[in-house]
Amino acid sequence: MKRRICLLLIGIMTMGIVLTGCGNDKDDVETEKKSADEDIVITYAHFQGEGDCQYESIQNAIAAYENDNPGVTIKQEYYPPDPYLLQCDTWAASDELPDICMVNGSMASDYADVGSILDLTSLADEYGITDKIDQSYFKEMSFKDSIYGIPWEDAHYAFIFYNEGIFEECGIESFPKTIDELIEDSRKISDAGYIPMAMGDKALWPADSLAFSAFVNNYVGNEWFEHILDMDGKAAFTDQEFVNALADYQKLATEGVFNEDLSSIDNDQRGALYQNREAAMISAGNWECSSLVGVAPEVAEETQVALWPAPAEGAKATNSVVSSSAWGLALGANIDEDKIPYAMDFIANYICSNDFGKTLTENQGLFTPWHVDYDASKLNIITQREQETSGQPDVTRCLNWDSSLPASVKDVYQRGLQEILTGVKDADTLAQDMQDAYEDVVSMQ
Amino acid sequence: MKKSAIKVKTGRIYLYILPFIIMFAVAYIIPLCVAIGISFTNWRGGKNIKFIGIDNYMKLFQDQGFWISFLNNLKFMVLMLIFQLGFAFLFALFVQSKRVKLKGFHRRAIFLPSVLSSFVVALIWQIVYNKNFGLISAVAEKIGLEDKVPLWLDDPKIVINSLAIVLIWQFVGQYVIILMAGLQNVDQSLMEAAMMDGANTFQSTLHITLPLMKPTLIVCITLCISGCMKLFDTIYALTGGGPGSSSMVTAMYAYNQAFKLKQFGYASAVSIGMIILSLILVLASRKILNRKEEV
Repeated sequence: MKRRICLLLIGIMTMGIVLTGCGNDKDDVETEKKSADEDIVITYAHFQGEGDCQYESIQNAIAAYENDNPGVTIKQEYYPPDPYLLQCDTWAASDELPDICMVNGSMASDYADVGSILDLTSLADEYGITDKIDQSYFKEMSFKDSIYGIPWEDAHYAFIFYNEGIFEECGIESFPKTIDELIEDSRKISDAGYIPMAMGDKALWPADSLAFSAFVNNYVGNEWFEHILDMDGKAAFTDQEFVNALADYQKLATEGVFNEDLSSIDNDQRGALYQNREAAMISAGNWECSSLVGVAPEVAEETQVALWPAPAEGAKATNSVVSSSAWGLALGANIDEDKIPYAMDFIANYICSNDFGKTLTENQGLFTPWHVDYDASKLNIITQREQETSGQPDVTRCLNWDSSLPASVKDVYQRGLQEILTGVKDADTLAQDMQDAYEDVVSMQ
Repeated sequence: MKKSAIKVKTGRIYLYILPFIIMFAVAYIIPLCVAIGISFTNWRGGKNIKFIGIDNYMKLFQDQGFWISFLNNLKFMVLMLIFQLGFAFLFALFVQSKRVKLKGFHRRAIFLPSVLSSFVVALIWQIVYNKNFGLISAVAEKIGLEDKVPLWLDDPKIVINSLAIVLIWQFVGQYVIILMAGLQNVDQSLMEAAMMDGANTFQSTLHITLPLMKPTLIVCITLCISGCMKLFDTIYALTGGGPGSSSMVTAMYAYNQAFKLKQFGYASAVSIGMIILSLILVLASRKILNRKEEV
């Protein structure tokens, strides 16, 4: 009898838990409706938590907007960077993206393709955003000639930090001008007991975004890549100049320019190798300038900035550096019609503003795609050197392959880069694999 | 009279377990049915979804990436069956041995890695394997063998073996516990009789303990095979399937198809393919082992 009563109680309790769970959901919905009646709440998903370089600018913008617009609340949904990407993909798949969310170029095109984010072309014009930001910055945030994301960064990457002190110790007087010279100098650095160039490609994107995107542009040039993106049949991954770039990139690994454990260490670990003066060079992004100054000021003092050397013969461009809008803001497709003006006002006048950009540039050394009046003397020393190098007239600005290539080609390409760096594949095989994946995409267009 | 009493009891038991059945259906059966449904579509997320028949399954048959991943699962499976179960059996014998002291400590020490999160395990082994500050490198440096230390996670030729070591360490404790339970059911009088007939420990283990442990071993082999087909988290945290795709396994391949390439329809087909292959392997292993028993 006792056993029966116990079983019955367990059953009732379990049913209770199940029903309570259902009941809570209903209550939540009612609470949300209630608050929506009283206030306008705009949900905003991002990964810029405390300590992130954009945290201060964003929080200032939200505070200013809420102060100027009583009754409108920006409800933040913060996730750390990697979980954010997964969360966003899950939202996009189930068509439940928040009102405003951060997207990069590939997310913008993927989400636009499945209708999870709004076409912002006319809204960007209406709110004057296209007047503030040069057309070129919208390229990564566009899909089929329509704008789906408002870019808020002018990021430079795939340039090289090199330690001038280590170079002098190794008898290297100036930064190498060609790939062959780079290999030659790397031997001297290696003989002196240093890692010539630290690379941490565990996440697959660093070997691409932080190095190869600019490295390859010196071999193929912007025009070739434009043809690839336009899918007009005038360029192929099996073209000799591209195969040569892959072969030379592989040569850097086989000749010991990179650390041997590049596929198992992450980007932060490679940064630590440079900050600890164990590595003489890293290929970096401009968001790393302020962290280098903050974490390793002595190493920062010795650091100079250079651009990837070109091949000795057949270069289609020189001094390439990636110039990317990197991240932007998109509106989820399910945003209420009446919330759109509030969301666009926030983006156009509080994010794309001088105040936002000034804080970001002066405090973090990061730049925005719209004009900002800032005090250049407040920039840290590494950002100043990077600006000086990337601002030279002979510099070729190029796109980031990570945010430009179709997802299926990118997957083959990024895994393939790691495969050629670890000797699993050769350049010809990877070029053919990429071309096969690319032709599949072209055939579906 | 007795028959009717049992009927009433069974009915009530079903009623009592109904909430759990509902939860099981919500958590497993319904998602599985949904995945089967999605596998016949081209769904890439969002609102657009189109029925495409068996196209995804046709693609799966020809997808080299999937079959290379499956081959990696099989490599792990062979290593696990030999070494994980082998070590587990030896540990179980060791812990059960009358000569061993501090049995409780040994049991807990062997089982400890099984209760650790896979990401903690990955972190520990990253430190062990690290070329610059890793435990193995540090020991090798002390004895002047630093040049002999391989690139555990960066050499495509040995990465599966390196990962298998981690997985064996992580899960061996579970099999030790199962095998210890099996060993406790082996009649000690048979062992004593064999000893009196002049058999040594090795002979009595081989000819008495192992045959009597067969049902337990079949359970372990089944669990090991299904476990190897589900491999994901530890490998994801240690290598992400790399270098390149050298340590890619089917679960990770399905994950990449879904969350990197946004091909949710195809990813569902990959997952269903995984389930079918797992079932075939488990059923085949049981059939082979049971056939031997019949002989």
